[in-house]
Amino acid sequence: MTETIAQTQAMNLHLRSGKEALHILKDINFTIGRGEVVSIVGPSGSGKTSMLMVMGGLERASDGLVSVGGAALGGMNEDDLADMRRNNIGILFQNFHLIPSMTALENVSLALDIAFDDLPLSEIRARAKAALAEVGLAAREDHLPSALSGGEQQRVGLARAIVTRPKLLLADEPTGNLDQETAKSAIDLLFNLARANGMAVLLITHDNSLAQRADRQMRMDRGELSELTAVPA
Amino acid sequence: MNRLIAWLRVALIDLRGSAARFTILIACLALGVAAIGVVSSVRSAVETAIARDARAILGGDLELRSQRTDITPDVLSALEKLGPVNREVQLNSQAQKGDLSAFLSLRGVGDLYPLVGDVVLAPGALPGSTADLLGQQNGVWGILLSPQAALRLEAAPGDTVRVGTLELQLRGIIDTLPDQATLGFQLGAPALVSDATLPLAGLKQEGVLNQFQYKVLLEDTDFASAETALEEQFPESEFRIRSPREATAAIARFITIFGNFMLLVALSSMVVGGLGAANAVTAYVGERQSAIATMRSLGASGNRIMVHFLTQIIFLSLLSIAIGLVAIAVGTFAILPLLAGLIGLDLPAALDLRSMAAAGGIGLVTAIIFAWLPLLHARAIRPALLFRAGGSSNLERQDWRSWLTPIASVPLLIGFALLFALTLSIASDMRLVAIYFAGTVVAFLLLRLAAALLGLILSRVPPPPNRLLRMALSAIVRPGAPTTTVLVSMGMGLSLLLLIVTTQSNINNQIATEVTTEAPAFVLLDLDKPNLAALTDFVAATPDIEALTTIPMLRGTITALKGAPPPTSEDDISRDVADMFRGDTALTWSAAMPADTVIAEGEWWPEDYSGDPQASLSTEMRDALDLSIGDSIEIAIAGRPLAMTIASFRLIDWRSPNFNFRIIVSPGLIESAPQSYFGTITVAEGTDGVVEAALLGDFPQLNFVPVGDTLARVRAVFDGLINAIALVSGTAVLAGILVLAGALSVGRQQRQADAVVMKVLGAKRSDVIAAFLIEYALLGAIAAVLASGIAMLGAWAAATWLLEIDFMVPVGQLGLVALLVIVVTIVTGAATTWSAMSTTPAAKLRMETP
Repeated sequence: MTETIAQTQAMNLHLRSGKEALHILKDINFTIGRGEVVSIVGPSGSGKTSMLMVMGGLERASDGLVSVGGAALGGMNEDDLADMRRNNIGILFQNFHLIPSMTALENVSLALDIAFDDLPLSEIRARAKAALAEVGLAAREDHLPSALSGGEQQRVGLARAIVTRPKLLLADEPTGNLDQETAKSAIDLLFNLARANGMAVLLITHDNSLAQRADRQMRMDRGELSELTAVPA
Repeated sequence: MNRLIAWLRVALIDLRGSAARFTILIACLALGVAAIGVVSSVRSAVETAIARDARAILGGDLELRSQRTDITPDVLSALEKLGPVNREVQLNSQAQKGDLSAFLSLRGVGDLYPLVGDVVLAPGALPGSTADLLGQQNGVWGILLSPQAALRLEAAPGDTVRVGTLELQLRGIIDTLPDQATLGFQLGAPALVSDATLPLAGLKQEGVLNQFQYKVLLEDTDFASAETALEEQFPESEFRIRSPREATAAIARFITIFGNFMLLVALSSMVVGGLGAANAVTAYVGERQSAIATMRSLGASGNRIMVHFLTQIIFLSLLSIAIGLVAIAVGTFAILPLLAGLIGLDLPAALDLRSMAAAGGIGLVTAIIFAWLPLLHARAIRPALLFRAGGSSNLERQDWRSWLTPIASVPLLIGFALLFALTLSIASDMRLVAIYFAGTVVAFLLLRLAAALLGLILSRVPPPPNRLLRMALSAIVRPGAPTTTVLVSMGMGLSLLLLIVTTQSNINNQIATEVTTEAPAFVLLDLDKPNLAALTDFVAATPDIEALTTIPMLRGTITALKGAPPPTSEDDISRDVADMFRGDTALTWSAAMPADTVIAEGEWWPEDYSGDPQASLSTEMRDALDLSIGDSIEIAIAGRPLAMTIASFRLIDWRSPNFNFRIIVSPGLIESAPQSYFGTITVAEGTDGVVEAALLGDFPQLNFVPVGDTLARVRAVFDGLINAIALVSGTAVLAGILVLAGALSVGRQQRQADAVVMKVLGAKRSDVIAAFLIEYALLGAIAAVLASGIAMLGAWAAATWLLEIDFMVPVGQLGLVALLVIVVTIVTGAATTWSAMSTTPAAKLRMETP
């Protein structure tokens, strides 16, 4: 049995929309181990992204247990959750969410700046350059996001997500805004880097072919999570 | 430490792409810092000069002055033992050159004038020392005139002018006099002659408005010893003694009060600028929500977000302050030489570091106070935002109760306390600063409330039939519209300007009303009986003169009140009433009750009254001395005591142009006492000049004051002060316009989207532009109306309680300002959103396609 990186037990998420109470996630029991890649597929509005947000401490579960890196998120305040994220989690967004005023190198450095209080600037820059090199963008480090293509922006996002070597990488439709070819190369890179660094990956996607490349495939439907296939380790 | 440095570094890197968008914030803060710094620096320079040059301003080490009558030879002899003495007589007179005349505040000075400092003359003066220029040359005495008098007489150095019965040669135009600052307000244009010329010109040296001054350069004693010795030697004398410090105290007090007032006006531009800063930071945080959420998703804490943006605000503030400090230096160096010429003080160009530090501090604290709530908003942004679809750059409304949490309220309270302390460090009047802070908060709340009410009303009115008007109205009231921001920020600056404009207009109205409807053309002083008779004949023979009224004036010493000795200087009574017991006091007598008299208590005597002497006193005397009808008062006139019974008390309106005496005595015994007369001459409209020339021709030695000239000088003084205030308040208006531009440009993206939708739906470009222009015109009109309301409230309070003048709404000026505001709002709106108005749908839609 591999080490458990994150898990939920009997987790529910209720949200309000106006006067209406919505049961978004229903009795979710989920575990992800070190180096494991798990994909979740499902229709829009099924609760996939909510699941990701709960795992990242961006949304609080209404009840049940959620833990990441061995620590339960339930009792944490906003700043504790921020600490938890910087120590354990990397996030890859569909819309990249690079900071437009910063170059590629500075965007990646930002994650290190936030994660490590006493890392010297030279070390931050060295690690950020190495991460950009890993995603094949060493030559574009001084470019602003506006000067990069969608695929390049997503690769900068990936470099930023992995540069702190998080235990868990949360990827929300990472190829949603990319063409097929660029998407394939981005996802190859994601999987290779995750496996090379022993990172667990929780991948949310609409793309079945992409989902099938995961170690485990799950399906979210109307807030209920079910196992589709179990690929032997 | 490393951690903090890393935070600061990232913040500055992040600012790099956004610095340009803070132009308005930088301009507002720099403007506020500059306005405060320049006012404070200039005031400080003036105060320093007054303290430094007190001796020159007084014109010696000691001044002894006597009102109306000259000092006795034994006092003069005592003064001469102290050191060199210069005598000076100050009186009013007319100068003539041909048909032209000028009313002068004439100073007849001794040969030693000035004992300290130098007289500076404008280029073109004849050569020689002051004594040479004023002395006799080839049998002709000299005169130095102020530029106003020379202009009035069209006289240049070398010309001859007549004063009284004497021809004098104009030998120079005065630029500055070393003691100019102590002279205060003068009825006429300043002029300098030798005191030896006064008797030669037939001018009466002793008179009600005349003053004798003796300046002494102390040789072997100090001021305190000299003063004590003089007072002990002449205990009964009416003269007053002043040291340089005492002489300058009044000017210093005026400079302090006026300077404080100007500082608060300058602070208003900072407050308005602060609103601009708040708007800019709110918009910035709104647009950076995604970046903030990204940082939060990377693990940045809320505090780190605060430090991140606070660092940026502080950096921008420091940049603004640096620009402001440069502007302070430039402004101070430009203003000091101009002011030096105007008030006759030596004001060397120098920077006042204290003022600059305070101005910078106020700028920094203001920026942080106004940015604090938007920054807290940034702190509260949650990373989950990144997973929401779409999204707008408008921040969600925060519950006002969040302002009461310690993290919001405690730093704000500390900030306000700091701002108060910094303001107090340069505007040293705690009460004034407190009133200002309270007034600003009230004005702010009123504007906020009015804007909210307006939104409520506009959202409930039925849609107007005009399509463009309907679109403009809906743009004003829709959520996220900058209406409140525009109204509050424009309203603050505008209220202040309108308050000043209205107050200036009220003062001018008061003066104009008195000149045109109530005041006589000339006030005659120190008439004696033969003069009066000749004058009566003159009036009868001059058809332009409508009326001559005269009133007798006597002088007497109050020797007893209610059978007891009168109060002394030790008693606690008001200064003006106490002055009546210092030497003699002026009084009059009258059989008939003077016009416009208001009897508060008791009764006026019958016109044919000839019984025991009675007196009618002012209510001020009654209140200060606890007097009642029937009490006795004894006054010695020409040494002869006259016991009277108090018959009535009168309310005196000191602003009325009538002669007002605190004591009026009943007829009977008093007519035979020595007395002189005051008189007034009323003339047909537009004949002042003709009558003045005729009067001067027939009565060259007559002492009279042309009221129109004097009130014009009063008005000029007020205008000068108010224009200076208006100039400083102009910075607040400029800040308001900057804030307006900022507020309107914030909504540019929304406007672009609106324009595209309108055009896609078939609206023409001209329709889109017209809708925007109507919206801006409405905003401007509403801001003008709100600001007018607040300004009228303030101006009414100022007129009623502070200035005690009639309050009138200057409808024409308000209308003009309102029109200007509408134009400025339209122009600013058009300038900042032109690209939005003229966007083509295709361009916008292409931009939105990924």
